[in-house]
Amino acid sequence: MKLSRTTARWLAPLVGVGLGALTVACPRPALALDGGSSSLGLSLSGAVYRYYPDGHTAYNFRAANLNPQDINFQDCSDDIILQFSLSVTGLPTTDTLEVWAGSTDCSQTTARQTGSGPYCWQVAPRGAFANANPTTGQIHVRNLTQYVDDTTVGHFAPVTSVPGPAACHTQTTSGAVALSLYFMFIRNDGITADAVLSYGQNIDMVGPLPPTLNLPIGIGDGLLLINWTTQIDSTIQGFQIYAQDQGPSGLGLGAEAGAAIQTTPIYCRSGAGVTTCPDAGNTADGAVADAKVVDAQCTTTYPDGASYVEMPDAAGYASMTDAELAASGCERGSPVNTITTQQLGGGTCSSNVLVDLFSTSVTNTSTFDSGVADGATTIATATDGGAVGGSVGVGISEIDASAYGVGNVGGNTTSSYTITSVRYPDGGTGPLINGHQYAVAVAAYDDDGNVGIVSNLGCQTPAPVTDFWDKYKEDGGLAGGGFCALEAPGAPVAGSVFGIGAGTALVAYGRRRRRRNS
Amino acid sequence: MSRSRHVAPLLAALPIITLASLLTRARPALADDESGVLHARHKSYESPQNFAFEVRFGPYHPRVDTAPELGNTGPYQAIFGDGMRWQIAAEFDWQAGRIPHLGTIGPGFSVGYTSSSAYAPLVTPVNGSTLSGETTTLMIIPMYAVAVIRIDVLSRELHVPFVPYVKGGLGVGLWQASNSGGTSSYTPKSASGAATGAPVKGEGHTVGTNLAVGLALDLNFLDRRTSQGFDNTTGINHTFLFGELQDYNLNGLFQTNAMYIGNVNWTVGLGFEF
Repeated sequence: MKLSRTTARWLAPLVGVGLGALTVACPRPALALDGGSSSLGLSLSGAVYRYYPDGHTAYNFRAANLNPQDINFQDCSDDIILQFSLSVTGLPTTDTLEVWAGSTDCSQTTARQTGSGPYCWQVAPRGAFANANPTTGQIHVRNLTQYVDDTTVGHFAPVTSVPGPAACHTQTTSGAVALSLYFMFIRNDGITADAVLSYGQNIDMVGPLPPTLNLPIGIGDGLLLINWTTQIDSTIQGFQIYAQDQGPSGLGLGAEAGAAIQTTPIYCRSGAGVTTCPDAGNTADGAVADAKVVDAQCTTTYPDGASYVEMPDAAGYASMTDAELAASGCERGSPVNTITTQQLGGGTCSSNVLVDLFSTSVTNTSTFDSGVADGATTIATATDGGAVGGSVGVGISEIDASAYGVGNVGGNTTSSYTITSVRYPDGGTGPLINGHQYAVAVAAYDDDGNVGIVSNLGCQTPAPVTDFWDKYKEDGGLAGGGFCALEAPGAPVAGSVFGIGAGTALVAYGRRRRRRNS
Repeated sequence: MSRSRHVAPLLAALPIITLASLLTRARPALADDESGVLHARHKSYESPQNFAFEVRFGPYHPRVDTAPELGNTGPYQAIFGDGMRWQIAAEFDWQAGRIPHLGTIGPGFSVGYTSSSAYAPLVTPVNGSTLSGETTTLMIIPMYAVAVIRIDVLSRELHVPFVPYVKGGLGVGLWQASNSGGTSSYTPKSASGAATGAPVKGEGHTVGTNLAVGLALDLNFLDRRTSQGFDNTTGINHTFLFGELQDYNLNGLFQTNAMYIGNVNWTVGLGFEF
C-alpha cells in the first residue's frame, strides 16, 4: 500500500509520538556484563504503575498531551511511587538487586564511586526488590529527583529515607532531563554488576519562563481583558490565568509593574498561659512585647493549640533574634512574598498570593503555615538565583490554582484572555464585579503540565461600558432579538427572495434540459 | 409605511421576473454555439461557458443611523466613527442563457462579510480615559440573489474588451452586535436601574433590495494565446477585472423592526467565466 502524501503527513506525528512514547516508557534491553554470571538476566515484566505514598492507591496519569510517562513537579510534590515488576533469570544466591539512577551509564563502576566524574545515585533501599522471580518493588520519585541537576559528587550512600519536598526543586534548567534507572544485580563486593536492566525516565519539574503581563489591563463591563508577551519556548502548551478579588476600589486605571518583596511575619502567642510578655498593653515603653496588645484580635488556633496573631511590622520584632522571640512567646514565620504595583492613576495595589519568588528556595520553619510541615520547602526555586524581584528564571509556580485560577488557555503563542469570573477563598466562583479591584497574573505551563513562575502583577477594576448595542437601543433602535426574531413579519418575504431565486433556477434548468432533449 | 416601501419590492422583483421570462427565450450560453458572422474565426476553441465566479472587496458603511426611529442620535457614528470599513464578498452566477448578439443572462448569488469594531466607551471616564479595553463590534453578512445580464457582445464580436453588466434582485443581511463577552444583550431599565423588560439579543436579519451596474475588463485581450491555453487546461474562458457601483438597500423590506444595514458603495474584484 502506498500512502498518499497527505496521509503520510497525517501519520508522521502519530508515528513520532508512538516512537517517543516507546523511548520514554519502554525498558532498554537487559544486559549481562562481562565478568559476571552469564546466566543472570533482568527484564521488565508488565507496565510501570504509579501509586500515592501509601503504596497502594493508584495515582492517575496525566492527559496524553502532557507526557503522562514523565515525572513532573506535581508528581514529585505528591511524592508518588513507581512500581516495577521484574523477571529474573538465573536467580543469584549472593547478589543483591540495587537500583541506581543518573544521566550516565550507571552500570559502570566509576559512576557509582566517589570522585570519578559523572555519577549515579541509589534510588531504592537495599531489599526493595526481593531476590525472587518475579520480583516487584517500589521507588519513591523523590529518591529519583533529589539529585537531578546536582553537580556535586558523592551521593552514593544507600537509600535510607524519602527526601522532603526540597527534592522537587533540584532542576535548574528548562525542559525535560533524561535519566535512566539501572536495575542491577551487584555482587557482594558492592561494586560489580552481574546483570543490568535500564529504564528511561524523563524528569521535568520546572515550568516555562514567565510571560510579561502587558499593562494597563483593559477594562470591560464585568470583565477584564489581559494580554501578555510570551517567552519563546517550544515546550509551552498554554497559559494559566490567576485573579484575586481585592474588594471595592476607587483606584485608577492600570498599574505599573513593581518588584516582588519578601517579608517574614512574626507570630506571637495569645491567650491564657502567656507569661513572657508581662508588659503587654503598655506601649509607652516601646518594648517589643508591647505588640501583645493585639492579643484580643487573635482568632486562629495553631497546631499547638494556642492562638497566635501576626505582629505589625512597626512592633520591631523583625530585628529580634529567634531566642528573643521565643522568650517573648513569639516565633518567626515563613517568608511571605508580596508584589506591589504602582497604579497609573495613583495609589498602589499588591498581592501576596499571586506572586512567586525568583530566588532560592525557602524552608518553612514555622508551625504557623497551616498545611505545610516544618522543614518543607514552600517557595519555588529559580535557576538564576537572582535576588528577590530580580531577573526571572525557570521555576515552578506555587500559586494555588484551585483558589485563584480563573482560566487557562492553550497554545504556544496565545497572548490574550478575557477574565469574566473569579474564585473566592471559600472555593466558590462568581462573576467579576464592577467597582471591585482585581489583581491579575499569568503563568505558562509546559508539555509536562508544569506551571512556571508567574508574571508580573497587574491590577484593574471592571467598570460599565456602553457598547454599540447599548447605544443603538438607548437611542431608540427597534431591531434585535435573534436571527429568527423577525419571522412573523419578515419570514415570508425573506423566504420568497430565495423562493423566487430557486424558482428561476428551476425554470432555467427545465428549459435547458428540454432544449437538450430536443 | 412609505410608498417607496411598497414600490421597492416590485422594482426588486422585476429583474428576476424579467430573467425568468428571458430564460424561456434565450439560448444556452455556450460560447461555441453562438451564431454570427464574426464568431467563427475566434470562438471555435473555447470550452463551454456556463458560470461566473467573482471575488470582490470595497468599502462598506452601513446606514444604521438613517433609520427613522433613531432620529439624529447616530449610534453607529458615535461608536464606530467615520473610519473606512471594508467588505469582502464572493458571487456565483449561472449564465443560464445567452441572448444573441447581446450577452448572457442568469441568476446569481452572493455572500459577503463586513465588520465594524471599536473600543467601547466607559459609562464614567476613569482618570480621564473615556474608552474601555472592551471591543464592540457590528458584524454583517450581506447576501443577495439577483438576475445578472452581462453584455459581452463588444468583447465577443468587436474585440473591445469591456463587458458592462447589470444586476438586480433581493437581499438579506445577517447582523450581530457583540462585545468582548460575546453577543451583546440589552435590558431596558428604568431611571432607577430596575429592569423594565426582557433582554434583547443583539442579532437579527434585514431584508432589502440590491441593484448594481458595473464594467468588466476582459483580460483575455492581453494575450489571447495564453488565455486560450488557460481555457484548454482549466476551462476558464474569461478572466476579468471589474468595478461595480452597488446600491445595497437593506432597510427592512416588509419588516417592521429592522436595523438599516444597507450601503451604497463601489467594489472592485476579479472574476472568472467558465
